[in-house]
Amino acid sequence: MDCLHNVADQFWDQLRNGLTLGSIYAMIALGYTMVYGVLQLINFAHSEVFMVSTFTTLYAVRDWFNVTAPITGGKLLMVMVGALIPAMIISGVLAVLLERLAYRPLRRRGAPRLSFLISAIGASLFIQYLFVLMDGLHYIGPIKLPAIAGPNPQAVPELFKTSTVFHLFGTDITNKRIMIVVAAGVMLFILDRFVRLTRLGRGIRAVAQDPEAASMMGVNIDKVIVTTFFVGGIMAGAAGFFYTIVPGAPAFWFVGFLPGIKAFAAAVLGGIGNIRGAMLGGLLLGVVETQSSACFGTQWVNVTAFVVLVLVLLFKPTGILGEQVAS
Amino acid sequence: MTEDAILEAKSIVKQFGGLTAVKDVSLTIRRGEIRGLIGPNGAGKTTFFNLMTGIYAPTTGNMLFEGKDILGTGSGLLQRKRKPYDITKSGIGRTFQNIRLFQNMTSIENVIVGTDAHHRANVFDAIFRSPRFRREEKEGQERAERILTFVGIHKYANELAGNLSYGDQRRVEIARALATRPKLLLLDEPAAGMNPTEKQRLNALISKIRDEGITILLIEHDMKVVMTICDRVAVLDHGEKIADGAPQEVQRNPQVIEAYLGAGAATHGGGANASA
Amino acid sequence: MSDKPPVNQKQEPSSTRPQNQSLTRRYEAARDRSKATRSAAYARFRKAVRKDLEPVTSRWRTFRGKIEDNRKWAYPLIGLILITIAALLPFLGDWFSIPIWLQRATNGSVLARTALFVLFALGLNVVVGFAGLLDLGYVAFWAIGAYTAGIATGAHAYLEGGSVGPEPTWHMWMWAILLLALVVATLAGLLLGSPTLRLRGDYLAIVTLGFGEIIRIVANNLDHVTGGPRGIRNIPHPEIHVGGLNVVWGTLIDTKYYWLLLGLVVLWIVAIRMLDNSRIGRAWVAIREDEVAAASMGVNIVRMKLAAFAIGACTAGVGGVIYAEQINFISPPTFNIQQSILILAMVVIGGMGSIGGAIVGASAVVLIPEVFKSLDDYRFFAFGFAIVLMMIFRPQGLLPSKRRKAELVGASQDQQLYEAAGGSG
Repeated sequence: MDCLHNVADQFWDQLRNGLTLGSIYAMIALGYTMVYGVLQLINFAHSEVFMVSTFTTLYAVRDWFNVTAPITGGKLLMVMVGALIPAMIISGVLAVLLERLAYRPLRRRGAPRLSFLISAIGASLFIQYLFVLMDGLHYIGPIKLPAIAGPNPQAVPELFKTSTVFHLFGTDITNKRIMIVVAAGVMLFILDRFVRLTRLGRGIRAVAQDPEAASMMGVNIDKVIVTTFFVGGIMAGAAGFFYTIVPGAPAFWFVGFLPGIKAFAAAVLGGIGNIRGAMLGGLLLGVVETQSSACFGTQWVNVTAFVVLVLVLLFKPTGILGEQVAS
Repeated sequence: MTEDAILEAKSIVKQFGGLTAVKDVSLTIRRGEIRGLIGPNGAGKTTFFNLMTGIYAPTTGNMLFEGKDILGTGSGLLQRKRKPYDITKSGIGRTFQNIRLFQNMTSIENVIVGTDAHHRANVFDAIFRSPRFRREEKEGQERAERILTFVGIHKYANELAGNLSYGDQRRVEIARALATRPKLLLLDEPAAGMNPTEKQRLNALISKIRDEGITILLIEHDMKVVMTICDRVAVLDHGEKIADGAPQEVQRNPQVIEAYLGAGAATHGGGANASA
Repeated sequence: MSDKPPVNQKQEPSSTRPQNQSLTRRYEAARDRSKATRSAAYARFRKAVRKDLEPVTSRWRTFRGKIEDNRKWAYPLIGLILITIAALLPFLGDWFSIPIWLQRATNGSVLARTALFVLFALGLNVVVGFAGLLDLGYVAFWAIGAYTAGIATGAHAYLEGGSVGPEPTWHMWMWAILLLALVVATLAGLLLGSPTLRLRGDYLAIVTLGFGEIIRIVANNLDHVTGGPRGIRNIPHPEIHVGGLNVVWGTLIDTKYYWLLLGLVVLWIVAIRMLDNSRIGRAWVAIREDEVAAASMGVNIVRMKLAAFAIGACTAGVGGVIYAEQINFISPPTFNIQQSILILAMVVIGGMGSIGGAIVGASAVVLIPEVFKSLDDYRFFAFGFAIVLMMIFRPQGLLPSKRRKAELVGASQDQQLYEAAGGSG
């Protein structure tokens, strides 16, 4: 009874929260779904690509621009762009490096699927603990690791003040939420156009459908794969940036784990390999998660994504929009 | 249902996305015959095999094996798709066009995997080496050896399957399929890549298998093999059945000649099937 | 006339390189040359070494041959000798003067910890190595075993009741609770495995990853069942009183835990060997090598995968009971994702599909940080790195099984049975 009461009470609030969170899941889910479409690989280290972005954001905001209190106007715009762009690029480059170092050697050998997954999870653990060790006290051989992360979360300074822009169904819609949803929408739109209209995008779709045929048609598979990882990394980078703004997440070595699993669940929910599916799945999962937290209590919030994942696998394994990148 | 039919396929349709690989094909196989299924490249023969063995599910249509629907039971929500292993257990064995042996197992281990199809020992039997387990292991070993002798490659029993010659791998595959105690054996281009002597020995083997009371459905490119040993032949082209009947009859069918001398013959190249 | 399967193969044909990257090409040519020189030198070195060692290797080969010929009694004999050596390890420090690092590695509690993880690695090896399934939430079953012990022994009820009266004692119920945990963990494995194993194998990885986290959250949230974040204290140590035999296990450092776990490890090794040499083991090999062909030969894919998954789960459950018993206190943070990956690292480093590999891998992963205390912080970092390196350079592990080596090193075409397995085409 509590459940229905709470849901009815907080419906619009939670819908709003869900859409904000869902936009971030959607951005991460894209990286999973595109890599899965092209390589049939769950890139477990993708959550670390996302995690690294929270650190890039932290350093850009706190150390390069010396932001301590909320700012406004031109400076705000400059800081936002000055943090978002490096976050995206560094994450994109990291994703490409991962492909180069952890997956490509296996691909060359034609290793079994299991090897890829194991390599991916190993890479994920490696990156996480590299950040734990980067506290200025640890060495790798003769090299002292810089003090940029460490085992504890570090708060990212608040960029700008939250203010309510308008009310809708009795809910405050704040500037931060609007920004995230709009930014996510724009990026997803650009990506969708990229995959549908450009040569490289068509290459991605061709490889996803049939790698052998694609390579015979002159598609450079390596280039397609690198592009896929880079684009996925960029999206995760942006997601990491926004994640420090609305849920106000800290920069933390373990921050990628839960959003990572949830984003993968979102990708499966929408139909793995399907770009529009990842967007839809992300939003839907965000909403389901916040609504169910109203129902069952917030301590169960992290269980929702998992339950959704298992239910989807049971009843509609191809997801809502069906599989594959090409449509 | 005809009295002596072991398998009846009724209006089978299979679509992959927009592509229709099998269009409304019906096929009857009589008990004890050697039935041929031929057609040019991409005609849908292997797809049809995969439908019969449950690897693919048909878009529409059904298939009766010994009068029972083997593709699914019930309808609507209660429908249960039959899995390949259920179909194998009910008595359909098969080989693959591009040999799919377990490369890192020996020949005899490959065949023993086939004999396991009807074994019932479970995890506990295996751990505690129960009488049932020991009986079945012994029986499997002996039967696998008999089957290897039957197909004539007993001397390679302990060689890794991946190290055998092409023709011998084909024989191991047939042996593995026979080990599952099939009533109907599906052979997917068993003669591909064999020289004339090997082909002759294969023909003899197929007839020998039939004499054991096993019905055979044979996909083959080599018309000579088909014409020599098949009792009846069906022809697929572009997923449709264009002819069905005795080999000589089919050979004279103008549609068949056109299918073979048209695009299909050109892509397949000459060589093995020059006699078509 | 191959009909295109509805599955994209991840295998990639040799790609064409762009023509204009002369720098890259020159670099690659140089790299290939240096690689060739190095490998030639290495080959010469190996040849020389082999020649020098010829008398030793030939004698070893004869010895091996003799063992193989008499395996009926030679194998159990060797096993017995190894078990005896293992059982006597704790006395090493008493009987000989040994360096401090070896003392650290052979004290009772470290050995018990090693044996516990060997047990876990053996269980996970069945899942990953034999059946080729990736379970990233193995810690969940360890937690299930541990909590079963915590609840079934009455330790939790005692805690809830305000810890009045005598502490709960386990006494004769020990074996019953071991069995109970075995059953509970197996059921949990079946429950989790049956929806996911029908689908493509790689989904299992993420579902188990999530499951590991869920179990931790559940343990954290269900206060009245699991004690919540406070955990369960006062879990009794085991005791046996049969006839004249009275064995009472003491605190954490009691060496008897090591012997208990060693006994379980031996039991498990025997059981797993039995499974491996049976139709179940053959089915696992067949599934790993070619799922479609295996299904067509009557191998019930889902059931065989489930069996492996459940065996892995029950192993962790049993280990969990002993763990809870020995440590005496359990709480949710112990059962984190890193533990799952650590156990995976043991299996991967030792050699997937190899029993000896699981033992070597687990011992290495537990003992190396124990011996080199200063490296403890680097543990997860180093083992994450090791996993990747292993996959790239030595996928068969340190102590490979022959068959698995051929599969992992060679190119594979592990197409899965999507449609037949109930998914879509």
